[in-house]
Amino acid sequence: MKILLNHFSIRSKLGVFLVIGAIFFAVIVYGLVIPLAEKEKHVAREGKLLAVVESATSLMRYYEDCIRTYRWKMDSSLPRTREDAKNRIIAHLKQVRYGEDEHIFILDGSAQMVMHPLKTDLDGKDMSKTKAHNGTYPFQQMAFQSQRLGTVFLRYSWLSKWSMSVYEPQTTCAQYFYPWNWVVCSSLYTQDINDAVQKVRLYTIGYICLGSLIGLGVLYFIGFYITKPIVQLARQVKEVTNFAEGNTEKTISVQSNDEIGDLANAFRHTFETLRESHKRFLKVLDSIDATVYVADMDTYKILFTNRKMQESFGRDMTGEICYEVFRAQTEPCSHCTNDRLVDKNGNPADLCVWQGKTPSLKNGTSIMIGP
Amino acid sequence: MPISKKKYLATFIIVAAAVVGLTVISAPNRSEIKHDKDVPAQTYDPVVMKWATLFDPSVLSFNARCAELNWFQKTALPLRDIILQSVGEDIETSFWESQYLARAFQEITGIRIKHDVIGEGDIVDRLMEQVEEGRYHYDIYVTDTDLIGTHLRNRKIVVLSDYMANEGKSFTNSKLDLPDFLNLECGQDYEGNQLQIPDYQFALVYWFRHDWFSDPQIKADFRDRFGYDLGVPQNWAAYEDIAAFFTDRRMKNPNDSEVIAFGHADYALPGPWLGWRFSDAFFSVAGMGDKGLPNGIPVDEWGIRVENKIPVGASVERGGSINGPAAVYGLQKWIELLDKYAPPESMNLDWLAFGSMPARGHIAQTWYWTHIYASLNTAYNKVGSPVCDRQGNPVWRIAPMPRGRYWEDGMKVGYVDSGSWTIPKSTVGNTRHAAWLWAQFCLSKTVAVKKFLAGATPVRRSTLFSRAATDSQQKFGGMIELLRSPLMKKFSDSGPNVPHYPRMSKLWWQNIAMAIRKEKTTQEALDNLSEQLDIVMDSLDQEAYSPKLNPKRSREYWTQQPGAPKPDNSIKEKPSTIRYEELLQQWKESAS
Repeated sequence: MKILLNHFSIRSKLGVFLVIGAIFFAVIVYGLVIPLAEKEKHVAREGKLLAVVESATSLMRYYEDCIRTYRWKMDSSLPRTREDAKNRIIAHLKQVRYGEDEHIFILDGSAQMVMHPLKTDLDGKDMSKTKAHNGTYPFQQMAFQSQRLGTVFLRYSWLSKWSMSVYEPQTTCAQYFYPWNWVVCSSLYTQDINDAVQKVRLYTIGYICLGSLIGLGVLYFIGFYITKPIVQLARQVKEVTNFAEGNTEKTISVQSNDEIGDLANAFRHTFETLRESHKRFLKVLDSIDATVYVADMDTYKILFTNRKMQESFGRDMTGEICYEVFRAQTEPCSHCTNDRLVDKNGNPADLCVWQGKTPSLKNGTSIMIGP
Repeated sequence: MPISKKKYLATFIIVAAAVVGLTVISAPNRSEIKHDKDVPAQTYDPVVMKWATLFDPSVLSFNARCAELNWFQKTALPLRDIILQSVGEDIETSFWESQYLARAFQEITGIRIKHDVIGEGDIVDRLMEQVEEGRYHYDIYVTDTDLIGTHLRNRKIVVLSDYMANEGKSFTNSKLDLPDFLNLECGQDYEGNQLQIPDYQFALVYWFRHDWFSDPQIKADFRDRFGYDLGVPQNWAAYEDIAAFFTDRRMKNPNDSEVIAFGHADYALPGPWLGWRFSDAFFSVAGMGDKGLPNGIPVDEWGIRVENKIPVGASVERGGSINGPAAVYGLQKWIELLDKYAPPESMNLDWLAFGSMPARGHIAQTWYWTHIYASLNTAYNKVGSPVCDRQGNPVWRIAPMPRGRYWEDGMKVGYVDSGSWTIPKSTVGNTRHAAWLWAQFCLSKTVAVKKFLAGATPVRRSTLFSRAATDSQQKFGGMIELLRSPLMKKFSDSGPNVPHYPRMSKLWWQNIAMAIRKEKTTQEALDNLSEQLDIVMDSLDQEAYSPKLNPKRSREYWTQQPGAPKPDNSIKEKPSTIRYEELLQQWKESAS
């Protein structure tokens, strides 16, 4: 990854980080936040259902307790028998509504409908074979699982309130009341939760895309303002360091109050020091009573000649090719020592001394020292 | 430097793995219902498989449950359509058997059950009418083993161990596992024959407010006043000090309610329940009887002297101890504490009504409590209750009852109620087989844990040490830990020495009520009781071990003999308490 990123510019790197960040954010939101929010919504809905169902079973428990402890002996308004208690509960729960006409219905332990307040034709019918749209048997499961676990929540698809052909997800809370072998149930549709979740998903992806685009734009400009002085600094450093080409008077002009400014100042100071050192070095070379020149090992281009050499040749040969000037040849000299100036790894070799006659000089003896 | 393909691939895999990993970790759990992987090896009847699924949790695997229920189904084939009448005491366990288990049993076996739930007193009356007068009421009873002394002498009920070995062998579940039962000996006669088999059990214990007892300020105040640490009282002297300390003290409950506390609570409404209050081990922990488990030998916790299995007297004059110094001291102290430290309404409470009183948050301790009360009253385990913390966990704890000054090491330390299946001999033929099958069904390992969760009255070791019991430890304030400890071997019921429980038990409350109402002194009331008990015993002519009273001798003669009746001991005992945590550790260490 590090190696991969090393090949990117700062702006590209920032862009990559933004994209990865956006993907990571999307994964977190889709994989964690939205499911958690959805779950919380369902839990809240289940809590509402449980409260409704428990209010019904608590009334049953109260009546059952009255019968068990013969409380009717002290209060004649209380039921004396379980049949009486059951009839009172049924009559009461038939009228109970909450939310948008939501209601409570009762099954027995074998999934036979004891009471349905809206569909009275179902009363007494075996509901165990009634299928939901998703192929499950919800009433059978309500009766069975509530006996097994006490209270259960079941999710399945059921006919919507507003259409005879559209199915919507529904959650039912079923609680078993063992003394009467009754399963007290209440259901709520949860399509609104699905819709809300879907909406959140769409909004999220939209916002992530939009945010990423804006982010990329902002990053481009931020990157531009960050990298512009760096590029400028790099170019100027390159120019300033090219002493051999006579760029001795050029300087670094990048000005800034941030870290880049500090870097530019550091370069400026370094180059001033180098320039002074370079001037002193040239003075020393010019004061030597011998001809001294410096040539590029690859191009054979003369980079520097000292004063003595200029006087000897009558001109400054800087920029010309050494073997053309000194030997009037069209190719490097056969005795050229360049290959001995560096070792096999390209590092400077030991001092190399070569002595010979230079035809262009009357009494000239050349000594090559390098690199 | 060029990037190699390997590095590109590695980078891609890392990023992809991270994305997939995050997605998997954060994906919602869609498997709501865990499926039982324990698939039966063979196919059983759907009804069997249905109920095997519903009887979950259980100490048995699904497969083993299927096998056991299948045995019931196959064994009951010749008994189908029999209508069985049974009865149990009015506690939650019986209601669950009546309204849930009976339905399961009927579906599986085809035997129709009508399991009535009535008061214990009525059960005893009907049973005695049936076995003594021949008036039929029920085919099988769940009744306390306090009647074991009556049954072993009257010989009117089926000896289950004989029945299981002979006539009922083919109707006896090979997986019944009798050694797994707790306190099986409560239903045995002197010879070890099994006459009754336990259906539910509950112990009587001491109950206290652990949160108040642990409060540093309260502890410091107590130490300043009494010179020793506040803790679980080991004897009545400490119990009395604690009662005096808390009574009229302003206390605060975890739900922030403030109360004027009472240091003691009990019930005193005259009725059969008042008799049980004393015969169910109160006089025993006072120290009235002799050393020797389970009930005291030769004088038991009823104060009855028994020689060679034959009751020879309850009065001190005949070698018994029901009107001896220990019993008089016990009753006096009981009335004194009731008058001084209990809420005034205690006088009007019966056994059942008393159960809700400590949960109201104004009682610091009571020396009479059972976890049945916690099953019947949700306030013992409810958020917002004055005796629960803000998570709904109890701030109360239980411990064995403190002992009176006549109590000696080697005597029983508490009472355990053991409602047990009892078949009158008048239940014969297939009805007897069906009744026995029904009893075994209610005791089976398949249903035992589920029954424990419904009624909290375990009768099997396997249930008591099940995960369900461990999970509910906190709910019972230390009861599970106590039941698991070897200390429970020192708890017992009324034992086999009481020759006719129904006729004798009703004498208790009538005489004790007179003492409570101050119509008689405690000595007079107990003299009267002992005389009546002797008269009843003298009148009995039973088939085995019928009572034969000792001739009357002076009180001095008997009190000078070793053991009970013990002579007057007016030395004031030194109060003794123990830290609850230390007690709990003792139970755990001894259990391991």
